[in-house]
Amino acid sequence: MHKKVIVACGGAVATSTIAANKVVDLCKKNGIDVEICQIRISEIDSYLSGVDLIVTTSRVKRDYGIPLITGMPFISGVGVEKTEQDILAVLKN
Amino acid sequence: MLWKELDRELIFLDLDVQCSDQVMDVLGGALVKTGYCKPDYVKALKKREKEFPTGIDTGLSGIAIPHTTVNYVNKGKIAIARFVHKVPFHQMGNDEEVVDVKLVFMLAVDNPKRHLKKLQSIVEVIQDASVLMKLLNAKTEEQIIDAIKEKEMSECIRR
Repeated sequence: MHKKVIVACGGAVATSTIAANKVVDLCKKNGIDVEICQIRISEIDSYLSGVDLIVTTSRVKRDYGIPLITGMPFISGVGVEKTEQDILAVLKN
Repeated sequence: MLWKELDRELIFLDLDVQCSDQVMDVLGGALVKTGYCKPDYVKALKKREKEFPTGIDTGLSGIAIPHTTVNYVNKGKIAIARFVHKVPFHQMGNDEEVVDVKLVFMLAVDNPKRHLKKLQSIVEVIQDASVLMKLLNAKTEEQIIDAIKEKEMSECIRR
């Protein structure tokens, strides 16, 4: 099962890197072969092809027609389990 | 290691301020005065906080990690402030919501790669409720440094 996930943040790449690492770990544990595309939110448009999920650590108001989950729980520590379940629910689909 | 970049003079245990701009003035001003940051650091902090807010709701307490890009920084450093009255910050990743912040880690980042490491370490600190409690209840600047040092050393051993 090969899945492509965009992990994006608005400013520097630091918060999205933390979120991306968490997504990779989560997928490994659950036997999902994942390809992470770590970019800025402004670049999402040009990378949408074949993408299964978008995880962001910054505000996104647009609908890209692809499931979008906030990765902020990976930074704050609040609601991590629920976020992991949501991500798995999309990727195992 | 975060604790190596901490200094008693750059830890403010009972800062009485009203808004995030004042936090930038006091904490950022101290980083400029001590030579770690360039004179326009404070202005850059305020601008960046508006564009990319850094408030984080950890459940136990609101935290913020204001910072700038590397070009406003001379040498890497971390300043910490704990407030008498909670200060509202916009939330990272959701700037329509505000979080009441009790503790700020202000990062002077002189190297983008180190920025990531610092942020990862801070995430580990704020996600550990027992460490966060120590920071919120510390009586002295040393207790702040010790709590973070202890946490980082235990992470080292585990790895």
